[in-house]
Parts: sequence; structure tokens; C-alpha cells
Amino acid sequence: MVRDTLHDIPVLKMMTLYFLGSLWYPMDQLTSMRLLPRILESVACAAWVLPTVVEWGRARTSRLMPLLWAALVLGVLAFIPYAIRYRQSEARLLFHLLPAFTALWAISVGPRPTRWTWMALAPCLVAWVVIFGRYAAG
Amino acid sequence: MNRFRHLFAALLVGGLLRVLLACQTPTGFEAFRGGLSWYNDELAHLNYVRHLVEERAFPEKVGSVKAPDAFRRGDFEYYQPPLAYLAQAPAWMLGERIQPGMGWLAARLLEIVFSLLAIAVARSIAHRLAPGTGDAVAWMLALHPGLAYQGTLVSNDPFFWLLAALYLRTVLELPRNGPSWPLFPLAAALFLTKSSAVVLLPLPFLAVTPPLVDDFRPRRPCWPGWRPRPPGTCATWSCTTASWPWRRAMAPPTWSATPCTTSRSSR
Repeated sequence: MVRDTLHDIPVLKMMTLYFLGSLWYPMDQLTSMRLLPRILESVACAAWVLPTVVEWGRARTSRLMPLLWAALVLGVLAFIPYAIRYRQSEARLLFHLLPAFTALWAISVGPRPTRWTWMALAPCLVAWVVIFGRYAAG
Repeated sequence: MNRFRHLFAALLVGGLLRVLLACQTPTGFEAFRGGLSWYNDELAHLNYVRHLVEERAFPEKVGSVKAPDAFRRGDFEYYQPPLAYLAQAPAWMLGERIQPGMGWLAARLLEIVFSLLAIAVARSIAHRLAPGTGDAVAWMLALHPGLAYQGTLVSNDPFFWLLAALYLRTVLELPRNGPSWPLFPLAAALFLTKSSAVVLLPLPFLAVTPPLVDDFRPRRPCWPGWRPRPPGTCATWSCTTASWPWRRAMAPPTWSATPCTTSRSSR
């Protein structure tokens, strides 16, 4: 199974593209093919991760960080057998890690999260406008 | 009450968005409406719930996701552990009783409840780790479109997210002298919901490793005498309950079982 998957270049390409492209956007199978809402939510999700990188100094002082990183690594590792078994990735599985992402974000942004909050919220709000616009247009 | 007003507002807005998605997202095979599309495996999850309600028995594993027309038949999720579907079955029955043919909507509405509860738990995690961030987290999760969509569709995921959030919250409290007993039923429930729970098992062990515990040692003078016990018991429970997904995964396909196909096609 593993050898078959690794030798199947088109499948590998599909897995890679799908996983990278839909990593943060398992919205629905029609919307996920549309570029604009996909980009918007990707930006929103990048804003979730960004504080962990930018505010690394603050996050590093938290004694719980190894635990949270372990949760993320374990979760991501869990995708590998899934991808090999089914020759696809399922971005929805990443939501299993949401509590860990939430905890990392909270520690990273510190007591005044306004700027980071809006960086994550604004693309979501625009995405909802796009979704409602498409819904209204039928 | 006042300090929870942001949480309530976020849950209200997030709940309304999810109810809209629940009512408008088609359930049929390759169905689209108003820019919203079906999701390929929801039909299989719905069939699981329908089978529990109509047959009063666990479904047999009848098909594979790789089989031709698997998504059209929706019979490839029967290997899943049953807890989430057992929780959805009463909602399905209630929906069918109120309006025949609307069991799927009642199941979706229950999924919304699980999703909103998960948001509340995530808020409490954030608030506990960094006071002042809880409300922001509640709004971000409530308005995340992908999470709203996936948290509306019928599957075992929203229930799993809720349990996983409770589990992580308990684990994060372990080094701070938090109670360990919730780990036992949570680990059991997680394994009876989704086999992906295996990735969460190492966390209690990591939480009580010496460097982490050492940070809080002044608050726990009797350490380490009692510490290994909670994760050990957790592991025992987990191994016991893990037998369900293992048995389901290893079971040979029983093609003779009656497939529980749906008659509700594209809306």
C-alpha cells in the first residue's frame, strides 16, 4: 500500500496539492473550488498561527507549550497513515486540533488580543459576505 | 453573567449561522443550492443514524469508501464507533416524530449544539491559559466558516471536537493540580466516538512528565507519589474502549448485510 502510494506520482501530487490547498479550508466541495473564499479563509487561519510565530518570545515562556506542540505534532502525524490508507487527505481532521491551536493562540497573543483577533476575524467576515452574496444570487 | 455576554453573543451569532447552513445545505448526492454544496460523506453518516433508529441494531460493515458508487450509496461509514450516532438517534427520532422525513435536520441541529459547546470549552481553555483572550477565541471560532460548515453536517466530528476540547482542558489542568478523574470517561467516550482519539492518548503522560510538573511542584508537595496513576488508569480505560474501533476496522466486510440506503436524493 505504501509503496503503491509513493510510486503513484499523480496521487502524490494530488495529495500534496489538496493538503496544502485545503489545509485550512474544508468548507464545502463547491466553495472550496472557488478561489476568493478559499484565499480569505486561508488568510484567516494563517492569522491564527501567526501570533505563535511573531510572539514566540512570549509563548516560549509558557510551561505548557511543549504539551501543546506535542498535541499538534501528534495530530499532524495522524494524517500520514490516513493519507496513505485512503490516498487522500481530509482537511476536516485538522479541526480535531482546534483546541490545541486555540490554546497556542491564547498564550501567544497575551492579555491584549485585539489586533490579532481582528486579523483572524476580518477575513472570516468577508468570507461570510461572499457566501451570503452567492446564496442571494442563487 | 455580565462577563459571559461576549460568549453568549458569539454563540448566538454562530448558532444562527449554523442553523442557516443546516437548513440550506443539501444532503443529496452531488446536490448544490444557493452556492452551498453537499458534503460527500454526510450521507453515509446519516445512514448510520437511520440504521440505528430503524433497525434498533448496529449496522454491519458493508462497503468501502473505495468501492464504485460508494458516495452515492453512503454505506461506508458503518465501521465507525457508535457513540456519536447513538447520541444523534434520539434527535433523529424526535425530528421524524415532529415532521416525517425531517430526522436529518434534527440530527444537524444536535450537531450544532455540540459545536457550540465545543466553542464554550475552547473559550474556557483560552481564558484559563491567558485571561482576556477567551472572548476573542469564542468569536473567532463562532465565525470561522469552515468550522461552522463542518460543525453543522451530520458526522461524528462535532461530538469528537467537544470531547477532545474537554479532554485537552483536563490535561492542561493536570500540572496545575487539576482533577484527573474526568480523563477516564472522556478517554472512553473519545474512543467510542472516533478512532482518531489515539493521537490524544499520550497527552496526559506528557502533562505529568517531570519538567512540566516541576514548574508547579510547590503547589503539589506530595508529588510524585500519586502522579503516574491517572495516566495509567486512563491508558487502561482507553485500551479497553479502543477494542471497539479495532474490532470494527478488522471485521471482514459482510456484503450480505442489508445496506441502509437513503431514498432522499438531491434536494
